[in-house]
Amino acid sequence: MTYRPLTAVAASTGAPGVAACAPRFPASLANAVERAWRKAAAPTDWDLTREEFQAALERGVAKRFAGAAPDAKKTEAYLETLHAGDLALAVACSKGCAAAWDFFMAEFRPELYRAARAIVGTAAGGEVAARELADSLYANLYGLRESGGRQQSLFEYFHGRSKLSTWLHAVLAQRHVDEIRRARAIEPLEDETGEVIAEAERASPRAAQASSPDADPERANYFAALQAALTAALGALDAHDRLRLAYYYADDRTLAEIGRLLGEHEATVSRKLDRTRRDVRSQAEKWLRGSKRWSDAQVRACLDCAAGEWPFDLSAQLKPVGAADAARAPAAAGPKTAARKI
Amino acid sequence: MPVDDQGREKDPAANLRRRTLASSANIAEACPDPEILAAYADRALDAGETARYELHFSQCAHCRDQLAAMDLAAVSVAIAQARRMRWVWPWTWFVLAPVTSALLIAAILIARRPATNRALEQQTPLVAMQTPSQPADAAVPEAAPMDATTPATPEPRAKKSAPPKPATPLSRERTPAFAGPIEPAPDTTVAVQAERAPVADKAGGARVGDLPRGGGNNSAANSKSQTVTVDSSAQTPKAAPPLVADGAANGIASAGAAPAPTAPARLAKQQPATLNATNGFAASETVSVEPALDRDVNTIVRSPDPQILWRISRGQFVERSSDAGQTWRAQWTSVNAHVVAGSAPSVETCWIVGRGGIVLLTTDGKKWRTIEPPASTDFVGVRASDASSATVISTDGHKFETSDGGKHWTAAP
Repeated sequence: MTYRPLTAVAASTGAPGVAACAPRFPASLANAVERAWRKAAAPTDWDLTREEFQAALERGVAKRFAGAAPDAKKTEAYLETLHAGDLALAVACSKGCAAAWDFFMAEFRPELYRAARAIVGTAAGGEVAARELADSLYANLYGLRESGGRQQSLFEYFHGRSKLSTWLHAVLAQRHVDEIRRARAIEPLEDETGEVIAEAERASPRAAQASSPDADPERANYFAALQAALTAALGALDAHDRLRLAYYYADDRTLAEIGRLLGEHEATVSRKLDRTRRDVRSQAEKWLRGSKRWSDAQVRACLDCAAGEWPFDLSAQLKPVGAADAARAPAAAGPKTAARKI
Repeated sequence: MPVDDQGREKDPAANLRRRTLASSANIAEACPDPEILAAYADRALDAGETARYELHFSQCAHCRDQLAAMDLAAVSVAIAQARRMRWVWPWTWFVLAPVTSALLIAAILIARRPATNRALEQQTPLVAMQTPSQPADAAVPEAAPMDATTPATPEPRAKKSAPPKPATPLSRERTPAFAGPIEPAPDTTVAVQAERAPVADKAGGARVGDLPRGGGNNSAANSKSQTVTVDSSAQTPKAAPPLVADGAANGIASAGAAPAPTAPARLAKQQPATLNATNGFAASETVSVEPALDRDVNTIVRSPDPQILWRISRGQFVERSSDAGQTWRAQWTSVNAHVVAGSAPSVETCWIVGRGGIVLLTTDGKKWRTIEPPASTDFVGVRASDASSATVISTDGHKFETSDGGKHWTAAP
């Protein structure tokens, strides 16, 4: 497993080293910078100068528009969206200002411990693990990590695009997930079609087919074709719908969790999942008829093979073909028919 | 078929761990850093970034696991905040409720007072003689000449030096002239309440003019004056002299109202009374009070402190002011009562008397108690020197005095 420590991730996405080369703001942005400075309203005992704050803004803009030179209007609009107060606190803390640290500890420490407990859970040893998770974060925030010969504070990676509390949750979450992954050994799978399909393929009957010399080769063809059809159908989905599907089918999340993650109501999640599944099926059938030039009977047979065996729980969603098609379709009998009618 | 949560893991943290362990996801090069994940969670990415990263998230279990962990953290914070609000909200209500109630009660009390005063205006003015403290030689408006039948002439009245200023609160305490019968008392130190001639103020309404001190700040008109005050033809019996509130310790305790038995009925017919503001009362003149915008027919009982006043309103309310009459606070009321006069020898002591033998006393400036009267008669005046010693005067001129706070009364000469 390839584990990327935070510093490596940070280096690729705009570490302070990159920020040292951040271009200075033109004079036309002076007013926007002034507004952000006033919005920050940093207390005087934080010893934060306007120039230091502006330097932090410049680093954030460089990261945000990496690879493109933004115009003043876009930059100004971007600056208006920043959480200036949190950014000022982060910069002051990264400088080692005692007053800023006192403020940070008073405001964020209880929340951080609470978040760590929620992430780690209540399993045996959860309280200890949560405390260790939070305390390790403090050490990095304070700048106990050395990188390139200098002490580096995690605060330097905060640019104010989100609330400081949300950013701290993200850092905690990343550490926790990385710790879990570090605890197991896995073989990375190369797959170009995305995680959902990779899992499906892993669970596909192909493995069973390879190990079972008596497996119907026709079924293998059906599954492969269906896989390609689903890949195409899923690829055509909107990213939001695709993510919703992934949360539900790949991650086994509840509707409420998905709703919180996507900012939707639980009922909306359910309704849209149902619509997306029908769209996926419709697109898959269309692909089979179009690209494979299969007949309705072949499509039906393919879906019958998938019912009950395929990792995707599509059996309940694979409805019988329409009435006209049903008249032309040959009568089927046996359990497959029953399964199809469910 | 609707999508539901059947078979889903109930413990989110355990589910996160299970999924992460089971996942074969590789951390792709394109995995965003925590800042992007946080901005996505805060909905701070623009539309293009959101679509791009959501596509990555749909393909990357590692990122989805992190997002799930962030969601757990956010939920715990939201729960903690909700618990804090549930604790704060009840206390907020407990603090706001009494404040709101107090404001509401104050508004109701303030709203009642003008209505009360307006109702008073419609009544025949009893005695609303109210003057600011005046030096002994302060001039008073010329009073009507006393009736020849008047046994004795009260102290000579001083001419009023200047009309009362309309701006002073007391000056707005308009009292249409009334003059109870001036009964020259054998004891000259008692009476004289020089008759008062309300002087028209700039507002065009009659108001209490200045009265000399010593003899009281108000005038007790003789019978004719009383008649003049309220009804030219009214013949007031030789009742107790109308007394004016005068808090001077040695001053004459006066009553605002000096009703003759028949006066109230007559007074009721005289509204509005008119005054001869310049010449005082003539014996046969009808004196009427011209209404002013804020006319008030109340009886003011003054204490030695100009700031401390009591007021008898409609004969049914006793109010107290500690700011020279700018604001009033009701202290006593009785629907069936008809109190008419008072005497306040100190800022905390006040005697109030009225019809039907009512005698009231407060010794702390707040709470009133009923004193057993010496007789079941109408009292029209009271003079008190302290909380123990007082002399009450009935409508027929009899006086009763006490030296033990009303426990025992004796007839006074």
